[in-house]
Amino acid sequence: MKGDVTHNTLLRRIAGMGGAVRFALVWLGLLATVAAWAPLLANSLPLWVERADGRWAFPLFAQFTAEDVAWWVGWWSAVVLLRWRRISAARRLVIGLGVVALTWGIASALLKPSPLVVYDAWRQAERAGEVRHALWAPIPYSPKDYLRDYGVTALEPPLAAIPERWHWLGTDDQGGDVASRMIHASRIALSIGFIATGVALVIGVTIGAAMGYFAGWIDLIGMRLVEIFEAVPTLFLLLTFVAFFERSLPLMMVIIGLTAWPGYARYTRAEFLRLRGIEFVQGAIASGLPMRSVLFRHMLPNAVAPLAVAAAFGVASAILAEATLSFLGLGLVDEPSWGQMLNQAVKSAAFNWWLALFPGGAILMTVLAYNLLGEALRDALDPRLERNGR
Amino acid sequence: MVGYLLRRLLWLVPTLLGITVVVFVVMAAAPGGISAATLVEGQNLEPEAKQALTEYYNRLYGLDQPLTVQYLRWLNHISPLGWESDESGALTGWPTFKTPDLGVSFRYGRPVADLLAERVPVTVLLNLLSAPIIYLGAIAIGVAAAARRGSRFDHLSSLLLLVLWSAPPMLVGVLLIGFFASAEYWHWFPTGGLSTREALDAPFWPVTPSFGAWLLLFVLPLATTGLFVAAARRSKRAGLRHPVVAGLVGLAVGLLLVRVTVPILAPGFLFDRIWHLILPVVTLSYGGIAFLAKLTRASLLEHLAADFTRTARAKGVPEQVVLWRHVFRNSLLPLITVAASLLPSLIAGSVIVETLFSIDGMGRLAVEAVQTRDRELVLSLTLISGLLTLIGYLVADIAYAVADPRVRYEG
Amino acid sequence: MTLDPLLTVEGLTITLANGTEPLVSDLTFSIAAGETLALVGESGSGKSLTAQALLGLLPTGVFAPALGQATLSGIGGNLLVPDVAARVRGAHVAMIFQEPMSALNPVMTVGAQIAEVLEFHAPHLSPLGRQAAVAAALTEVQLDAERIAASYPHQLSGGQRQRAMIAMALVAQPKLLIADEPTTALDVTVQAEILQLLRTLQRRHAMAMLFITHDLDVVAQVADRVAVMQAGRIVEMGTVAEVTQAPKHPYTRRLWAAQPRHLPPRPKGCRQTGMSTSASPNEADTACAAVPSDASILDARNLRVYFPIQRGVLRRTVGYVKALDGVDLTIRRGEVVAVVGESGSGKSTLGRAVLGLQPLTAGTLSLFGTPMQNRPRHAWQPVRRRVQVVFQDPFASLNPKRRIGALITEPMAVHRIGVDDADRWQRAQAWVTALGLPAETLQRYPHEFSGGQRQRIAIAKALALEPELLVCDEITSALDVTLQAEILQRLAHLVVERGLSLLFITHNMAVVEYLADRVVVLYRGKVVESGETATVLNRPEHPYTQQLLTAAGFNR
Repeated sequence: MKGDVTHNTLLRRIAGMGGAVRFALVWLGLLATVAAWAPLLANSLPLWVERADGRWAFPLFAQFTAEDVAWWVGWWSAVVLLRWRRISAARRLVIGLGVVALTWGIASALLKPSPLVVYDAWRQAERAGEVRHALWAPIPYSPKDYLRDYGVTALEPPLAAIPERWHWLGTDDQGGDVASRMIHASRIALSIGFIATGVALVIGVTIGAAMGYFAGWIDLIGMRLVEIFEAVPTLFLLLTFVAFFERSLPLMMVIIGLTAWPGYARYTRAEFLRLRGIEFVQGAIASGLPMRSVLFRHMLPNAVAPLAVAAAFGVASAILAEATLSFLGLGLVDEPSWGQMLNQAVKSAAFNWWLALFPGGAILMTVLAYNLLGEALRDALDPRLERNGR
Repeated sequence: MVGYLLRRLLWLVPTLLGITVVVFVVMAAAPGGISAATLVEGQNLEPEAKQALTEYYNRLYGLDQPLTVQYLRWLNHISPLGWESDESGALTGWPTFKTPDLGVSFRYGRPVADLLAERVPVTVLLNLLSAPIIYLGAIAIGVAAAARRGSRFDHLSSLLLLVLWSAPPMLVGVLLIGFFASAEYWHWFPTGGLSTREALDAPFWPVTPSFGAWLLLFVLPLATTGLFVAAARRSKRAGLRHPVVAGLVGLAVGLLLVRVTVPILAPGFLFDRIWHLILPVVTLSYGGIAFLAKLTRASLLEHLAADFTRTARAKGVPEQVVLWRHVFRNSLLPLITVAASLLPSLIAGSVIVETLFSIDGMGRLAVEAVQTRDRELVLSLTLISGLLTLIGYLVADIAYAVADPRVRYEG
Repeated sequence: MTLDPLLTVEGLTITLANGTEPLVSDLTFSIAAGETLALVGESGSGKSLTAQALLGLLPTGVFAPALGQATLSGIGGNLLVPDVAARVRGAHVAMIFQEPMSALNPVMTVGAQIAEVLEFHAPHLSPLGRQAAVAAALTEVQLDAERIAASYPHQLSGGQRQRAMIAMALVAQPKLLIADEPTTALDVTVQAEILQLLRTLQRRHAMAMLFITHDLDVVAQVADRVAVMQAGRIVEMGTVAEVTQAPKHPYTRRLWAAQPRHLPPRPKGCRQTGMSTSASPNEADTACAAVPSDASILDARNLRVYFPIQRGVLRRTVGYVKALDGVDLTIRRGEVVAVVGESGSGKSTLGRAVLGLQPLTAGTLSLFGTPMQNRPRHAWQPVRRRVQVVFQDPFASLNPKRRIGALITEPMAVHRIGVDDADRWQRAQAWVTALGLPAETLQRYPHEFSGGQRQRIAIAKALALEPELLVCDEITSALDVTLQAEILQRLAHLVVERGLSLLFITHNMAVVEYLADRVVVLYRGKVVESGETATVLNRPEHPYTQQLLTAAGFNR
């Protein structure tokens, strides 16, 4: 026998691939952690307060939204599921998604955060001596807290306003703390990245599989559709959508997904065309296996490889698309975003370098991480490895 | 080959029509749909003007009629081949060639067609400049990396290319402006625009006190470039033997010498334009260079191990000739295929570059149009961008058919 | 006859760059001018590596520099040194390769590629002189010089491409020609022509030739002396007569014994009277039930499969490729029918049509007495179990993402063979063992097995459904001769034990002689001859059959 390769799983092959991939995974893990723990990392409301009259309050937790809970639970389930190797990756993914969806549903029903938040309330309270003890978040500023109680705080370089306030990464043109905005923006980036890619995958794989398997006129029409969507430059298509629809987060995700599906359709179609004629599929049909088994057990698992590679690159471009739109001032209106902060770097006459370095750097690192992952996946899924078993 | 190309050309038409359908569907699906009200809303007009405009649109597009009719009427307006319509909106006569009526832009108060005629050439210029730079740069780096596989150059360049490919053009543009075009650091380049005010009236070539000085402007860089290339080819040390790099260095040295020694009274239109274009073109092309260079390297390495390369070596062909005549010519094919996807990304990249560098091109117009909800403008721009991309595809197809005899003789 | 050696190789050793075990050890041989030495071995014996090392073509990153001495008389220096090899390549030593399609540059015309050799080895020639030399070389290999020189490789047939490669190799008048399996990828008739051509050219130019092959038939046709390689060493060397008729080394003997023509005749058992109904392969049961012997398994009449050719801007159908053009085929219970043909004969299409995987343009197809032509999927379902298939490419015939056990038991479950999963698993285990595979096979994935093992797994998978007809589409063409012998012998036993009928598609006449009861010869979609094996092989009537047999070494 050719050596014990029974546990030559994909993860193992990737993990063995050296520093670059490890960097990518570390960065993405860090990003996911920061996104999940964001409200606890950067918040103008303290976690715990002991008032002058001895009563306790938990302002930060009172403002927890369903989204915050879902992210937090999602992080924990990811930590648990990554280690639980006994069940297949696909099943683990489904379990994780199910848990998050369930938590979101329950939290939406139970939590009732107040819509209006006065960010400087507790700071004022502390200054006025109404607070005996308080436990603040490491970065005691919310992303939308423009520090009105400090006067004009716009465009301050990092660590400039000491000893009054401590801004690790400076402030933006509205006066908000850059570090806090960046932390919360990571949520937008990650969620848009995954969901937009998910939407694109669902559309693309369905159309592509239909094209590849049935061929004929379905293929003809499908390919024309693919060409149409590929002919318009993505950004222009995005601009068109944005011009006509309002800008909300879910809509953004769907729109970015709608511009990305052609690539996945092409890959799926190519794989299905190839697999239709390949001997083990012909053999499966000749053995009388039912169509659903042929499609889902024999064809689809073998078509996944180029899709996984494309998806890694796809997440990178989805994040980039969102950042670009925000940079152009066409993104989400209220939410913090890396792209939007980058735009402020050259808006005024001076070069606000911290707004270029930090948000820009974050975009660069994230895109780089996904591109590295994509390349590593491409090498790991090289079909030649399956022929030789090495 | 002719049949193949004719077929590609024929498929262009339904694809273009398909784009119009998609765009129209987006319009119709938007909240508020297509009504004259949504086209007119958000404009700072008096109520009477708004009313008049609303009626105009209702007539023009038949907005009180079913969607398919609306689509057809709209299509009729924007296509160069169709029916003319008279004052009341009814169609007259036979289909003829006519100027497409793309509507009027609100923000500018001018016909969209005029705006496009002004702005589109600028974007096309930017892209036409960037495309050859991308290909030449990518091929140079890719071939160098493949020929020196496993060396430090290869590893370093791979890393650098990956980082460059991942760096968003917004970031790179911002950094370039911040460091090279700002008052705080080095102000080597202008902050924006395509020309300075004076240069627009200046003569095309640089103004020099004497004809001799004018000649030197060209002779000096050519001479230094030639010198460096010749020195590189003769060099005994393998590391210095890269003629392309030597040529570029020589050119830079020559230009520097010109700057220092030759008396120039005024830069003239051409040089001023070039000076303004350097940063935007760099921002537009670096990403493409990085991506294509990686692709070139991968394709070359794949073909370096191919059977026909082994045959060429077995024939006793020198390694350099094997690399260029056999390997490179086959590696060119995937590069041409990729050109098809490069073009839309270039056009999209123009949006960012034009916004950053305040260049009045198609991309910047699109952003402004979206911000001011100037919907007719947005639609026309999307259509034009699609048309440009399709033309690019066609060119790529022709190039591929020329390069690959297997396609040429398919029939 | 002692001739001065032209090429002398001493102690050639090749190792991987990061390996310790040598792939080729201590090779020593010599070739004289005008002589052909055949280097014979199975896959992994190191014969191709030897050839490439002699020309300095081994990739430097992957392999350590080759050790040993290789000298060409009249040229100083050790050929294994890169500088010397660079001088000698193309000019004094030329090489032709196995796959002419991939060995030629697809974007250069054939004429340009041949002229390139002269550009570097005959620089004194003017472009016109080069053109003339190219034309002369092409004519010498019996090609139409003007047309071929202007053509691209994809416009030529396999045989034409190989001739062009030979012309390219010989145009600079080398002293030594290394031929690395040049005819393996060609049809048998074309192969005979090419071998003939090589022999003629060799004599005319007084060249030495090192001919590498795994095909022992070819050796007899083309070589003077033979060197047999096993695991990187030469185990036997001598004249063709010595080695073929009186082999000394056990490996050589095994190789010769594995030739289909040298195999012991297969068992004939109860083929005549019918089939036994044993449920498990372990029962060495030769008891035969009385079943009528002319029970028809397959009855196909006038099968036609036409593929439209579409040309022009509008893709009009201008004609048809007639893959099958009126083929009749009958198979009775317990019979082995061989379908023989070269590429383009339609034999693979026939196999797929019989399985219902290829729609028929016309004709009738009856399986087990039921007409099945162009019936929908669900109508095929009851028949599926009884007709199974094994394909040619062992690397594409097993789903890489599933374990062997699942691959074998899933179809069994669909067809309700075995009472429960445990029972099916046991049966699968029995089949796997019966085919000589290791015990843990069921738990492993396909990529953990070699090509020969995968082929056996595919056979086990097919037989686990206990079919009555097994379609074998060139199942041994990609395998070494010893593996082929093993599989053929197992199949022969299974035919007898289980009353299995075989539709055996092949291009190898020797295999036909061993295995088949009847043979059908296909040429361009038509049946040109059919009948009992002995009759067709000994007294062929159709000229194409005669050509095939002569090319395969029969009737000599």
